[in-house]
Amino acid sequence: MQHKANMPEIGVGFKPEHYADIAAAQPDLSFFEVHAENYMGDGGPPHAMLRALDENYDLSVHGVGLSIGSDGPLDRPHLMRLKKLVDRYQPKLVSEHLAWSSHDTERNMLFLNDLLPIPYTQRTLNRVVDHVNEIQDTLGRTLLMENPSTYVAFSDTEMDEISFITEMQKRTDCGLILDVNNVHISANNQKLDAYEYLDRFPLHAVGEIHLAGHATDTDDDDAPLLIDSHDRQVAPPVWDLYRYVVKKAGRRPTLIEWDNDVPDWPTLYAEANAARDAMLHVTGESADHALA
Amino acid sequence: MRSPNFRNDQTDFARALFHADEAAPGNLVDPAGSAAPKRFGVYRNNVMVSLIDNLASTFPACQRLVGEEFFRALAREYAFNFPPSSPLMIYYGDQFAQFLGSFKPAQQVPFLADIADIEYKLIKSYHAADGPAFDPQSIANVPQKDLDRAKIKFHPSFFWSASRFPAHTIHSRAKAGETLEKVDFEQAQITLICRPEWDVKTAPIDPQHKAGLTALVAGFSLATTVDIGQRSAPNFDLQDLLTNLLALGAIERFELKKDI
Repeated sequence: MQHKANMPEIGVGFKPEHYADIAAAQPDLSFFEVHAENYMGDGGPPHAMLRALDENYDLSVHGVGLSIGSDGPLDRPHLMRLKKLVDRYQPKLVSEHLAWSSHDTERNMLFLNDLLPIPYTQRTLNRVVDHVNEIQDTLGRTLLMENPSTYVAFSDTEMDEISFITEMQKRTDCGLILDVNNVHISANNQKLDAYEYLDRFPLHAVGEIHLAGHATDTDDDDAPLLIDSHDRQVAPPVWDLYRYVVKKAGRRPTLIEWDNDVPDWPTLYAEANAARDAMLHVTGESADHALA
Repeated sequence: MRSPNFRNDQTDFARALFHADEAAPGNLVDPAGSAAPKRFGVYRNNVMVSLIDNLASTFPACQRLVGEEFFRALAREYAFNFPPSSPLMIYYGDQFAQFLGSFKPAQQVPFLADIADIEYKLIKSYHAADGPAFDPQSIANVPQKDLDRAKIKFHPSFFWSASRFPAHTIHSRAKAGETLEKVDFEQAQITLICRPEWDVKTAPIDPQHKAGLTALVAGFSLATTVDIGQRSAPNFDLQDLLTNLLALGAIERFELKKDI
């Protein structure tokens, strides 16, 4: 089925194990998002699948390896790999994270394979702004930056996350991914009000919304600590936040992320359809009406 | 507690991630400002589990052979000693076979390193550049009198792995979830690996081909290959080797080029 031009833009994180189902069913979605680093090999099935998806859908390239929050310089060879991928596919969206994951030691580069938190200070803001500018200049296009999920706070932080993101966005004119699951997680973990956070978020710059599932652990005081696990369905309070955002911001491309314990295709597709229904419900359109 | 240099903080953070016995960095707190070692532990756990999971997905036959618990212990040891040095996690595990070959506890299973070598090359083959299928015309283009001087252009996804064990058989059995019953562990095998189309394919060949295959891959001519191959294995049969390589799609074409 081809995507209807007037339907909300809904996408899912692409997993190769779903490729046969997608190729057979041609589901009614507008885009697929891939982790950039998984498509930095020279050829083979990863690129064959991406080329095939590109024929019928928009693509979104989501980087997880640029370590924009590193105090040290950007990994130039890695940025050039991202540029090669972006030049090759001309995806509709290109995004990265407000986090760090690489570190130069005296002897070599260390990649930590996780999205690690940064303190919100003038120094880290200047670094992030420089890095986002460098990436946007190199790619020749707007980068969407995603709000993080965090488990710790920093004693040396100088501003709150919204102030940091707002300032970063102003100084770079970057776009933003609003990951609503991350908002829910961080609000719980940092003892903040998620709705207040959304009220202050620079929604005008949001080019994509992320939705995902999370797990619950406990912190040092045995209070609930939420973990950004991407391994299950979107939780009810996250759907509530999503509807709140759509009500305030209107339609935005929305993605379901499910990266671990990946379900069968119908289960993932059902989550995507739930996001579409939620968006249409909030904006006062029924699916039938939007199809007409 | 103003940090003069966030770079130093990131050095401390990175170090503490890999040393569970050391304290969490001092500037990490909970929202009330108290030390929060358990919260930092989430990052420790995320990093280590993600590295172990990555290795488990690259080396599934190794995991089947030694069991999940032992495999994850090996993977943890590897991740600690060889953390990733690049964001290209599709290629993480490039030293895993070498590590298994030198790490004492892994040597209870003497062929494990060779199976890991095959599995890593399967990944490399999967991501390798696409290449054309064999061009039969290329051999017709070489005049009969010059055939001795012809060389092989291999498909970019071609790799091979030699073992003093029947590594291809062991890998296939482990992958299929079968036991190693009645495997002749005395039999050496070379595993050919290639992805001529969508799927990565493998084939076992006789170990007597080792010197000849090494010569062909190094870019020696067919005549020199026969010479090198037969010096090391008197029964070396180039025709047989080429037949195996062609059947797997490992050869792009025959070509006449100046000697290296």
